[in-house]
Amino acid sequence: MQAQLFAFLLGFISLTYQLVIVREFASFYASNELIIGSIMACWLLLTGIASTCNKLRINPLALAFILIFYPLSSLIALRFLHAGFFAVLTIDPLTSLLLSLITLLPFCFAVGYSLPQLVNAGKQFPNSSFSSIYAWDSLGSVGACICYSLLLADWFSPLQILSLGSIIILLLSGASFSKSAAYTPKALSYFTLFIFIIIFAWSRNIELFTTGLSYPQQDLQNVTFSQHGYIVQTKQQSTSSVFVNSQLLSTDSVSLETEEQAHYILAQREQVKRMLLVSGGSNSLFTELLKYPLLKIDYLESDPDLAAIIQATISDKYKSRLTFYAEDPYKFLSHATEQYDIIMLALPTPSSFYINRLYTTEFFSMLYPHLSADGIVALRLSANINYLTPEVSALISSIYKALAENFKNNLLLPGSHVYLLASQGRLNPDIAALPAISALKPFFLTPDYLRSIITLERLADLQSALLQNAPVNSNFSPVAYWHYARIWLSQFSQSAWWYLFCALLGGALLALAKLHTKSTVLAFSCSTTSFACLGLSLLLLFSYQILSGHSFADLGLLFGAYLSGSFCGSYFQINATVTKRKQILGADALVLLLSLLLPTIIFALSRSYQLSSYYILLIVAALNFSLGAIQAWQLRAISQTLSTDLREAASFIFALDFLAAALGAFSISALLLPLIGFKACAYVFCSLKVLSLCVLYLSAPINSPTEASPKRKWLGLAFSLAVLALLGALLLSDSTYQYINAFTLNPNYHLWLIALMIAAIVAIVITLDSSVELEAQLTALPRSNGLVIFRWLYFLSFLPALIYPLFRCVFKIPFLFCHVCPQRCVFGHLRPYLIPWALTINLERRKWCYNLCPLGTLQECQAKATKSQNYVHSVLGKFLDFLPYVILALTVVIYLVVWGGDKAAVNSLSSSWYEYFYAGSNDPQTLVIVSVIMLLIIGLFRRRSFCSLLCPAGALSGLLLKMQRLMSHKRRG
Amino acid sequence: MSTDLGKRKFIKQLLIGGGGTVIGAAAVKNLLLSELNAAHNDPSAAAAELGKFAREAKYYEPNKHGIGAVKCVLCPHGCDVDDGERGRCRTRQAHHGRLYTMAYGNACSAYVDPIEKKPLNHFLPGTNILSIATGGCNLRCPNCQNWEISQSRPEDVARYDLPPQKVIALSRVKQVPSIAYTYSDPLAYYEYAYDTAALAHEQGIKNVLVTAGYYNQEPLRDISRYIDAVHVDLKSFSDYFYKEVPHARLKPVLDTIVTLKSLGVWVELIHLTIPTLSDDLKEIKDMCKWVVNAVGDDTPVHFSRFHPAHKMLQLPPTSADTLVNAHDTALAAGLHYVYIGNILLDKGQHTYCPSCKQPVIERRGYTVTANRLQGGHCPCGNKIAGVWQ
Ligand code: SF4
Ligand SMILES: [Zn+2]
Repeated sequence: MQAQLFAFLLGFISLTYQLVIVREFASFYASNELIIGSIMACWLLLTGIASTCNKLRINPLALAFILIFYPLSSLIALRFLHAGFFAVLTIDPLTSLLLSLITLLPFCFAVGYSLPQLVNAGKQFPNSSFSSIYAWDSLGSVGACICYSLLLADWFSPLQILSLGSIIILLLSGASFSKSAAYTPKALSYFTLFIFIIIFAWSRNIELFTTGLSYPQQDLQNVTFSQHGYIVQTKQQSTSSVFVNSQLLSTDSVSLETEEQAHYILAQREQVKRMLLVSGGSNSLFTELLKYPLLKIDYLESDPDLAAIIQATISDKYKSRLTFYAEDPYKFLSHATEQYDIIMLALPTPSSFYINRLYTTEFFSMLYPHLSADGIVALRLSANINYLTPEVSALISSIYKALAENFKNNLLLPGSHVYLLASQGRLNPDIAALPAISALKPFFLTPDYLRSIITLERLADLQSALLQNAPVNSNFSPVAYWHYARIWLSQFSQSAWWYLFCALLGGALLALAKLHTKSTVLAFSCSTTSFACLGLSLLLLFSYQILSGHSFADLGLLFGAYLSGSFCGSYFQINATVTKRKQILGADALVLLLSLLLPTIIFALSRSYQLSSYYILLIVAALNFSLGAIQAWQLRAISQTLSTDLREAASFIFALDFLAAALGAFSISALLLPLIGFKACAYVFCSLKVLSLCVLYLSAPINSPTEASPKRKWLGLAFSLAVLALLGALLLSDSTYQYINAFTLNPNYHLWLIALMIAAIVAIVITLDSSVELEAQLTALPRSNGLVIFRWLYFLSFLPALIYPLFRCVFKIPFLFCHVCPQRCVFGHLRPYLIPWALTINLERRKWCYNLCPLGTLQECQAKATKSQNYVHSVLGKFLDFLPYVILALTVVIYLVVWGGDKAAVNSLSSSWYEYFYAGSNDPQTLVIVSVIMLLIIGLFRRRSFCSLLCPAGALSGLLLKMQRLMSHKRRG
Repeated sequence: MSTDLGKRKFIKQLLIGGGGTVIGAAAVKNLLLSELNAAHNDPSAAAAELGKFAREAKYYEPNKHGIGAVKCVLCPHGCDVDDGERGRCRTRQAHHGRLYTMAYGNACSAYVDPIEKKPLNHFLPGTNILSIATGGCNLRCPNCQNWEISQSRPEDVARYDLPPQKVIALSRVKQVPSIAYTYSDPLAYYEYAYDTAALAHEQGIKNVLVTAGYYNQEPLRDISRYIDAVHVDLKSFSDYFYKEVPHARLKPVLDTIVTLKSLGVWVELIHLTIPTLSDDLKEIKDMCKWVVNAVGDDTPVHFSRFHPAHKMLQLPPTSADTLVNAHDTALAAGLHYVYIGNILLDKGQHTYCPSCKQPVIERRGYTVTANRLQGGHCPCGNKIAGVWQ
């Protein structure tokens, strides 16, 4: 039972820690999903890697120590690090990712390492230990989610929350001690530790002090941990400011911006009676707004804590004309009856899905009924009006389009921001001429100044910056969010991302390579399920945020629903009577079905505004629950299918699960969702599951002898052809070709390839046993060797470089005549690196050819897919063996002719063959494409057909080797 | 893997590995050299290779350490630029042993602003000025307001094709008396600014540099011949600040101010008062004392309100008190013309006559509301420093 209890605690502690850390990082970055997703991915990745370390033996006491103390101390350390290194500057997101990696590493390691160990420890319960540990772990996480969302997040500070787990562990171990040996000094020391942790974590001063580190030399007035993040009030000299998640929200002094914000909009109408201000209230803004005599303002803020803080800072002289509301804008609008002359959205930039939903066409359409006949909706976007970057233009365009879908007249105004106004009535860009300006006499906005800033030229430039075919920003296709993320990222140097990504990918692959699997198919199915389920549940979380506003409590509950699903799934799977294979297939099918239905469900929900948010919560939670259940069920079934050595199987499954989930978390939040929107995302998961289902269905049941069935062979060929066709289509269409071309010519890509190749050489030299006969190695290699994964990575990396010339070779013969080609493609660039290496490394058997040659790898991978054998002994085969030497001779001749750079020689050639081959541009050529397909088909019958039939480098090496052998024979003889 | 390798085998493998590396390295070098050999010795043809907006840079020396590398001597960074690489300012690229600026004529911005917005208060008050800029900057201020421009490469943000002649023509169309080189530091497009300024000078149009002043002396003296006014951003009076925040040094900036003044160029200084970083009153006092001693008490100094931007978001905007205190400190240090910018305050707006203490030029925000100057003199007869026509 102890193992189960420990699993429960592990789940509890690790989830609270995760929630707190994610929130902490979110507070550094204005709750950007990009960061949240990356941190979650880091978390899962590290845990996944750690769970592969099943051979390690670590003192359990050390583990306990980490679990007790690490959460608390790491949070404090994180705050110190953040403040110490970066003071008042925004950390480069990359650095913060590294920071999160470092902070999370020990803890994730402890958790990831412990899980498989616990499975092993709980062995006494036959046949159910894996699922029971998994179940208890999920149960612990569920507990954490529920506690966190119902109790902790609202009432306790982060340090206090973290201390809870430590206290529980301490209490438990204290109890077990008191049973064995009463009142030893050990017990006393436990007690002291206990007291120490309580004092340390529960003293508010420490919390304030460490949070304040990020606001150096400012007096910290108050820190509130609200639903939306950290709200920090500071005072510096006489200025008091409110920061929400490190973004300045409001301050006192009036500046040019404040005046623009008020007068650009309010001066448009002769009389403004009522106005709705959404967010962004401050004394300075109200000073300007309330200069308009009739005005009464409803002020709406969605976070109650923030609303309270702002209400407290607003000076009393304004309050008589202000009404405060703390409600989600969607909800407020659905029941409000008031008609407004002006609705002003002074929102933060759309840095998260949650804020983005207030910039969408759906939201604007809800504003419409609340406007008086010629009422105005106004918002502003931060932009440098002296130069609009393409990303900023795209951002403005997508929001402008959303406005234009709902209102007849739209206006863009330049200032210290770009202001967007929309109305059914008239809008006047000539602010200087408006009567209110001359009546109210703003300080900065004098008529002269206005006339020099709002010029016809600037107005026209703004208008022309709008992209004609920009997509509309909408709730479930958050275009503006994506553009903003790009703008934000463009502040930081990005080259390092590439390297980090490679490093992470490398780490994950290494972890996978360590695993020994009996069935790649099951592994594939298991990892795609984890990937899809986590992705879908994230989709659900985000949709829920969009539909009913942001609240940590609800998010915790939804997460809890997912985890209780996994608990139930793994618990009830034990009693299942259907065969394992059917269970696995069924789970795959269910995920497929869910991902297919999800967009429709969400669409239906988004249309039903009347629906109480409790129902929405219920539906989304139910979906989450079923996702969790399916995933756990399948995981469990797969683990039973595989299990021989329990710990090994467990670590394999955990690792796959975590790694795939990591990929899911990262790709959804950082890439897929912003790029292609909700619907397409769901369909990506759907197609992934279709693939895994097919593979699973076609694959032989495990443990039956695998033989290349003809069905499999043709399927493999169809698959290769499909991949080729896809790549080919991308290369043939001019619009995508541009991008691929740019990508393949990027020096970073070349560097990566060369680095990969060097790594491969090292790996080959280390791993290959040169005493084994070549043929034996050739057939034995792809099995049970960590290099398999590497080979696929290698294959994928080189794929663009290899496929490119097949479709876009300047010469009609790809790969061979690069040295005479005047128009280098990626392969041509790489050749000087490849060929010399190939020739020297081939001196000791054809090591290059079999292990390093990108082309060879390409064919090897095709052979793997089609399971093709080597039919060498045939008459035709013998004849074909001669072919490479012909080609070698030809190549040598041409090479020698052209080598000297002798223009005359080339010219004389050009009249004959050169002319024929030289197409002069990278246009696709039918001849080449047809021969490629032929080669693919030949590959079915003859393994590595290119290598053995055509490749001159291979032929040269073969010749050299033959000569070597002859010579040594002679010597011996 | 068999552990007993055998001597022969070991040597053979060593040979293979070594041979592979050598041949690989040779291939790389060959690649480089063949590209170099293809280079033309004619700089303008080489510039054409780099594109329409490339010109040979004015200040650089060969660098012996790399093939095709050079050393730029335009600004105190003194970048050693490898072939094909760029200097820190993102505009100067080495190409076959020569240095080229990639920012010549490819302006990203060309708008007319009121001159008070630069801000320049003693230079043709009440007039408008044509402001041009290209991408790039030699500093890395985390609070840059124009980071979209200054932290990009010129070709990434270029919008116009505006060779110097066209800039002049544009200023004629817009009917402005002067041209400002601004937004990013004009040092980034020194060659472009230089040629444009020379042309404008010839035609009687005035030139204004809005700069952080991080120049080497020789290029500075060269361009000053055509420059009428410079607005120098004196970010702080502490070398530590310069090292930590914009990643530069203080001394060259001070030298720039002194040099400009000695050459008779009109100079106004701006100090962005960043809370907790550059709002120390003692430091401000030292700075003002230095200004009085080094370039005279009639040098205008502007204190500008900071607002969180770019990567510096966790600081509050400067409070009015701080600005007023700085203003008073500067006056007490003996400066005659002290201004406060970017905030609604009554103090620090007008130009007062140092002799009769009456306002000579009154302003509201960025607008001149009253100008009592008569031929550069206060009605009381005292001369007010500045460029007035
Ligand atoms: S001008 Fe540019 S290249 Fe030259 S030294 Fe300065 S930063 Fe470096
Ligand atoms: Zn006077």
